[in-house]
Amino acid sequence: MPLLINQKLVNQTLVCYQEENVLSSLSSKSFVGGCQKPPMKPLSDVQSLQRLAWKLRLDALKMVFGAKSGHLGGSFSAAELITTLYFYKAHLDPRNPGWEDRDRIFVSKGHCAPVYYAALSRVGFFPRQELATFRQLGSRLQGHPDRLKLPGVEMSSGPLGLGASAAVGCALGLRLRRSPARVYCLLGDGETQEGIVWESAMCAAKYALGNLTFVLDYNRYQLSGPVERVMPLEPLEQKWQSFGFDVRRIDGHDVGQIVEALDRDSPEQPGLILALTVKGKGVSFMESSSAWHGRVPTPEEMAAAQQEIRQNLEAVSPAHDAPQTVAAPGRKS
Amino acid sequence: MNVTQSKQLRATYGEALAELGAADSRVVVVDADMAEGTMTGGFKKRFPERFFDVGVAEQNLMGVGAGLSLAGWIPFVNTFAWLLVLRAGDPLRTLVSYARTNVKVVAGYGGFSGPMDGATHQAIMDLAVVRALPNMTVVVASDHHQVRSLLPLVADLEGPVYLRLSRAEVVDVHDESTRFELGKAIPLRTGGVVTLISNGPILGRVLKAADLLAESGIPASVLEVHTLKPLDGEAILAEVGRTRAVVTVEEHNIIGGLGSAVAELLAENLPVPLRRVGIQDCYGETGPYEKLLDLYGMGVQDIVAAAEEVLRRRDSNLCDPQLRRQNTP
Repeated sequence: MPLLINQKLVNQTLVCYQEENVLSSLSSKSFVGGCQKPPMKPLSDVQSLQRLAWKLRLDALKMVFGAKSGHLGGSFSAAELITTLYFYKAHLDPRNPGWEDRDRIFVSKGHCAPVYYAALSRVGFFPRQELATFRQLGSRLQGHPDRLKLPGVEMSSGPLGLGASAAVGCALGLRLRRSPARVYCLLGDGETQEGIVWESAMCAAKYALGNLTFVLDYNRYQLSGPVERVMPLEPLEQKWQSFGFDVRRIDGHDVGQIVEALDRDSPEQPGLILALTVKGKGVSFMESSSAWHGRVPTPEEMAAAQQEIRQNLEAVSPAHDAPQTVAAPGRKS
Repeated sequence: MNVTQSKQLRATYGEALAELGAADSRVVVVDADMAEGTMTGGFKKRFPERFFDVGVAEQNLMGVGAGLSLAGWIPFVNTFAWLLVLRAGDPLRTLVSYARTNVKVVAGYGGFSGPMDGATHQAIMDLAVVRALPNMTVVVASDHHQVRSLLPLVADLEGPVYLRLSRAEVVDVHDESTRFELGKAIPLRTGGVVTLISNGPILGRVLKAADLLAESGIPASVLEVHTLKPLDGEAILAEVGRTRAVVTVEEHNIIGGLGSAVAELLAENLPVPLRRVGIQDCYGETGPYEKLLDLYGMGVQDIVAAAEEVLRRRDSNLCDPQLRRQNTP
C-alpha cells in the first residue's frame, strides 16, 4: 500500500488532534483492535453524536460561505450519517491513516465534501484550521475529494456512482486478505440513477460481501428537482432487496437508528441502509429544495442559518436528557 | 524458447499471467465475462480465489480493480481494449488515472486484431485516450518474448499501467537474449538512412519493409517504442538526429497514438520529414486480419513508399517552405 501521508503531516495532525480533542469530549475509552495498532475508538452516547453532527453542519456552512462555492443541501442531509460512521462505527487511526486493517469509508457522493472534510478534520486527519482553505487554490481540500492530497480520503470521488464500485472491489480485497476491516460507502439518492451503482450491487451480492454496507442518503432532491420527478427510484427498498441486499430503512437523522442499523450484521449479505433524510436539514429555508443543492448563502442567509443550527445544537442538551449510552463494538482480533 | 510458428499473443499472455500469479501472490485478476477471449482462464484455474468475474459490466470492472488495489492487491483488469477506455472511461480516468491506483489495465484485441467482429470490436482509438490520461504508463507489446518479459515489470511498477495486447497471430521478433526495460526504446536495426518507428505486432511488417528497403539500397533503422508513455524521447531524437527522415507505423488511428507522440516530439525539438503510417482516421470493417491491415494503409508496401517519400522530402528540403521556393524552377 502506498503511504498517503508524510511524517511531518502526521506530527502536525497529532498536535492538532490533541488540541482539538473532540473525541475526548465524548465519554471515550479506547480498546484494542485490529492486527497492527489499537485505533482510537470512543464509547459515545447518542446526544454527543447528535451534537457533533450539528457542529459539522456549522463547519460546512462556514466552508461553503467562505469559498462562495460548494454543496450544502447534500452535506446537511448526510451529517448524522457521516458523524455516526466516523465517530461511532469505524475503526480508524488518524495517526496511521494507512493502517491496513482500518475500516474503509468511501464517500461516493463526493459533493458532500464540506461535511466530509469537517468530519475528517475532527477525527484528526488534518488540522481544523485547514477547513478555511476549502476550494481555495493550492488547498488540499479540493472541490471534490482527492485521495492523493488529503489524508483520510479513501478514494477520490465526485463523478457519481464510482465510489460504489471501488467499495465493492475494496471489500473483496479485504476479505481475500482475511482482514477484519469493514467497508462503508455513502451514496446519494440521485447518484443511484448511475448504471455503475447497479453493476456494483450485482457484484456485491454475487460475492456475498457481508463486510460491505452501502448507506443511501435518501434526501429526495437532486440537482434539477425532486428525484421522483427527474427519474423515479421507487420502490427502492424492494429494488435493493431484489439485488440481494439486507435492507434497513431508517430515519437518517436519528443517531440511535443509524447506530442500530450499522450494528446489524448480515455475514453472508451486503447491507443497504436506506436512510430517509431531509435535504438541507437544519436550516428551514434550505430544507427539501433542489435550489440549495449547490447554492451559496448571502451574508443575511448565512447569519440566519448559523442561528438556526446553533439553536438546534443547543436543543440537544445532554443535561436535559439522560444520555443513552451506546457501546461501540470492539474489533475481535 | 523463441516462438517461430504463428501463435496468438493473447495465448502467451494467459500463460505468463498464470506464471506471474505463482511468482507474485499479490496479483489478482478481474475479468468481465471475457476470460475465453482475454485468456485469463489459466490464472482462474490455478488461483480461483484470486480471480473475479464481474460479468458484462465494464465500468464496475474498472472500479473493482481500483478497489482491490486499495486493499493492497495488484489487480490486472482485462477485457476488449475499446471497452476499457470508452465504456469504462470515467472509472479509468477517476479511479485509476486521477486516483493513481496501482491497477494494471490489460487491453485485449488491440487495433484490428478482432477482425471478423467488425469495426465496433476493433480498437483504433484506445492509445489516444490513455496517452491523454495523466499518471498512466502506456505499453504496447509486440511479441511473445516481450509479453513474458514485460509482465513482471508491469506488476512491479507502482502505479497505473495500460498494457495493449493483440489477438493476432505473431512470431517473435526479439530473440531470447533481448532484455526489456519500461520506458526504453529498443533499436532493432541501426545505421540506416531513414528511421522507422513502431510498436506492437505490426513490427513484423516493419521489419519486412526494412528488408525490402535494404534490398533496394536504402538501409533503414528500426526503433521499437514499446512504451508509448513515458516516451523515450532521448532515444528517438538521437536516432532521428542521424537520419532526419522518419516513418511511424502503428495499428491505430494516426490521430493520438505513436505517430502523434513522435510528431509532437519532433515538431518541438527536431522538425524533419515525417509520415505516419496507420489507420487514416476511419473505421475498419469485417475481414481477415492481414488483409485489413493491407486495405487500411498498413501494408509492407505502404511502409516502403512512406520511407521513400520522407527521404525524397528530406533530400529536396521540401519541408522547408523557404528552400522549397528557392528550389522550384
